Amino acid sequence: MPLSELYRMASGKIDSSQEKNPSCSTELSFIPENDFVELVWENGQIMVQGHSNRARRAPICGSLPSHRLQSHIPRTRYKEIGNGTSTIKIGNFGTMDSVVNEIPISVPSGEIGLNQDDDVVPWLNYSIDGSLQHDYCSDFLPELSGVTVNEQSLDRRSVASQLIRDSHAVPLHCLEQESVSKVAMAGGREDNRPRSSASRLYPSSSQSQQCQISSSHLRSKTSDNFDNMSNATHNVICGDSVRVSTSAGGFASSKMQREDPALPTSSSGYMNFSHFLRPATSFKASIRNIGGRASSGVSSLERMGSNEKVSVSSSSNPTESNLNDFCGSSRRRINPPCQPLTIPSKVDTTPMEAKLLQEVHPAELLEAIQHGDASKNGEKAMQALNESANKAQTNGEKNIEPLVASSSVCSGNSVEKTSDDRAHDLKRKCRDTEESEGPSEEVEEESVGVKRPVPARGGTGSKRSRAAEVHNLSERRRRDRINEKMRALQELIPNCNKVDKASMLDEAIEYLKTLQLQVQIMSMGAGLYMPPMMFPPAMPHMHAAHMAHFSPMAIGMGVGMGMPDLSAGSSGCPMIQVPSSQGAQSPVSPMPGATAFHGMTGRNLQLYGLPGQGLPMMMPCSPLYPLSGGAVMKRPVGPDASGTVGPIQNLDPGSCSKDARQNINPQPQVMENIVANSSMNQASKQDQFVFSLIAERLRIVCSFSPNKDYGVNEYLLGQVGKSLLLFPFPAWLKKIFSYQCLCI
Amino acid sequence: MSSQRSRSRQSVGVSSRNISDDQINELVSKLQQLLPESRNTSRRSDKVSAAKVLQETCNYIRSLHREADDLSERLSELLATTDTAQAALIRNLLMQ
Repeated sequence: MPLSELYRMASGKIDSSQEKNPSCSTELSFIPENDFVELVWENGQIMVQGHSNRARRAPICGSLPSHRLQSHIPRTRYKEIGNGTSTIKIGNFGTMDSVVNEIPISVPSGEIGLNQDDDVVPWLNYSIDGSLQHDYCSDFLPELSGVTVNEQSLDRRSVASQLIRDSHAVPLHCLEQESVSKVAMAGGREDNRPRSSASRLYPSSSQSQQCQISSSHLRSKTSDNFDNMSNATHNVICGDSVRVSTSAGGFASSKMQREDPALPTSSSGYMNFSHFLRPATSFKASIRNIGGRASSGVSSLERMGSNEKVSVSSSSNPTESNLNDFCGSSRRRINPPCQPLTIPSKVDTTPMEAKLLQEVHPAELLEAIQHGDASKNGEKAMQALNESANKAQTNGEKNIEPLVASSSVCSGNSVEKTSDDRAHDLKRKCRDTEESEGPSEEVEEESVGVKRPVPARGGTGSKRSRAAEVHNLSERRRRDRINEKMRALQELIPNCNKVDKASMLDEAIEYLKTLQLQVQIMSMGAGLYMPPMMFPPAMPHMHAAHMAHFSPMAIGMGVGMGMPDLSAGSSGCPMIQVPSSQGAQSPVSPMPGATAFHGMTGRNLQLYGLPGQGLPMMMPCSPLYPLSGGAVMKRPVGPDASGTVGPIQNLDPGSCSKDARQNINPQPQVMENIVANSSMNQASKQDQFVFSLIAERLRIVCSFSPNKDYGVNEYLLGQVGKSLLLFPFPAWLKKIFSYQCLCI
Repeated sequence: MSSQRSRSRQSVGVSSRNISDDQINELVSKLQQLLPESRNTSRRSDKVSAAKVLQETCNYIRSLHREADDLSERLSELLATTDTAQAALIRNLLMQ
């Protein structure tokens, strides 16, 4: 059983960690807990029991819990999940698990208070010790706690994240609530002992059976207990249950996923949770060493388990609503402080951690978590995370990848949610990191700007050396950042395997140009369809005149012919309307070229305001590009004009030569202009299609361009031109394209 | 640039790097010019760190990708919805 092996390894690690770190002694007991949870159904009440209990004892007994429990682990857990989460979707399973697991721990404390049996005694002792140790740990590992919490949750939740992006958090929360309530109830009222012992001794099968008891019971109970829940949780918390806090952490983590309208509920419980979260987190911190490996293995196992559970049918709980409300409220409370923090914190922390080799594992986990969150939170986060991940990878951590793959959505949130204290700490941390990052950039900028002069002016050696030191440091950081961004950029550029920075940037520039061109053309192609009435009636036939009229401007723009027509067509939709229509889709502001167009549109509009001006006029300025021949030809040559190259050449072989090349070579704008020109002037359906064709072609070409030569876009033009030649198209336009084709 | 000079003064080994630095600065400024105005104006001045420019570029490229995808979708819709002989022709061509 791979799981058992994993656990063995984990336990071994724990042992080692124990030896090394006295504060980690509690780890042993706790680690297994999370992994093993049992749902016991008795007397109409659900008891959640963690194998963890055994695990706790195990250290006392001198035996390793991991070995004992291995066999039970997979089954029980999954069964629990399956049964417990029958209403829940698989994705939630992970969180559920964690919550459930964590909750049982609290039970003993409750028992201690209410039921004091022989069995309880060890628990009591242990729990107390554990709490103390936790505190101890927390002191020692304040930073780690937050991170490590994620690991555990990650283990379980990775499944959830993978399977479910959308949080079916509601049911999950309900389950959590239920479990919590049950646990609390059990601790408070019921006889936990038999169950607990049973859970320990029972083979997994029996547990599973118990667990399989219909969730409907659970629901009813939960509804009944719901009122008591808050109190119970209170008690539990008072009982020094570290686990409760952990459950709260998980709980909190779940909050992030969804933002439910919440009803007023027990705030006290929430407060308590937050209080106790810290120790829990600290204890988890100890686990971090194990986390790296175990998480991956566990995650895979869980995945399997989740698959199994998928088949479990879901039923709706009446109590869910209540629970949901409760959850929502608690969530909400916790969230407000945490939410803003989460994303930045993750993003920020990752780079930092990446640098810290010691904490690499947590960092990775964080990243994974972040990835999970990112999926929910949006692409931005994803991007940031990816970048951070890249960074981490570059730092030489190979482990990151698998972990990232097993990223858990819920776990990520748990970190920030853990508790108020935790949250505050995190906040502080996050702020620090943020500030450190944000200002650091500025500082570096300034340092680059300000500090450089200092050494330049500074005459004394000491000053200079110090300045140089500082400068070197900041310089290095700046360089690192730039390198990082470079990598990010490189990933965005297809087929870019340049190592050299300069060539990379070159490529990026060219690619960016191409992309802009492509988008503009495509937007034109798409925009043409939108308002056909926008075209002035006279328009189609007078583009030559317009061209002539505007040629000065066009010249100024360094564009031979496209500009005038484009400007003339500005009254037409494409340039103006397309951007606006796209504005909704993407906040991207129109590109520089577009702005230029806008500038022109003003003029053009004026022109159009005066219809007379739109009429053909003599060319005040001879256009740079000889388009007289084909200019007015709007007539399609025919679809079969594949042989047009010859004719086109004939059109003006000589005139086309240098000027045209010069003018055309500043490609993007020319292309835009050309297309815009034709599109503006001819609103015929054919041309519309041509444009869409161009756009499509461009898209294809851009994406598959083999030589990646985005520089002059000749390839692009060639491709487009070739395809255009097959289509009815204004001769002048064809000419241009064909020229480009010939050039290739 | 004084900064460059100062840097080169500090250590000789940097000189080779400085060349590429200049190049890179140049390229970055080029890149910056390609970015839409709105992205540039948010900066308090024309002095922007290279990292930021690169970051902006990344974002911009991503947005362009999105835009291109949207547009291609729209175009394909247009092509698909319109039925003309030419449309069919174009479709055929695109299929190739």
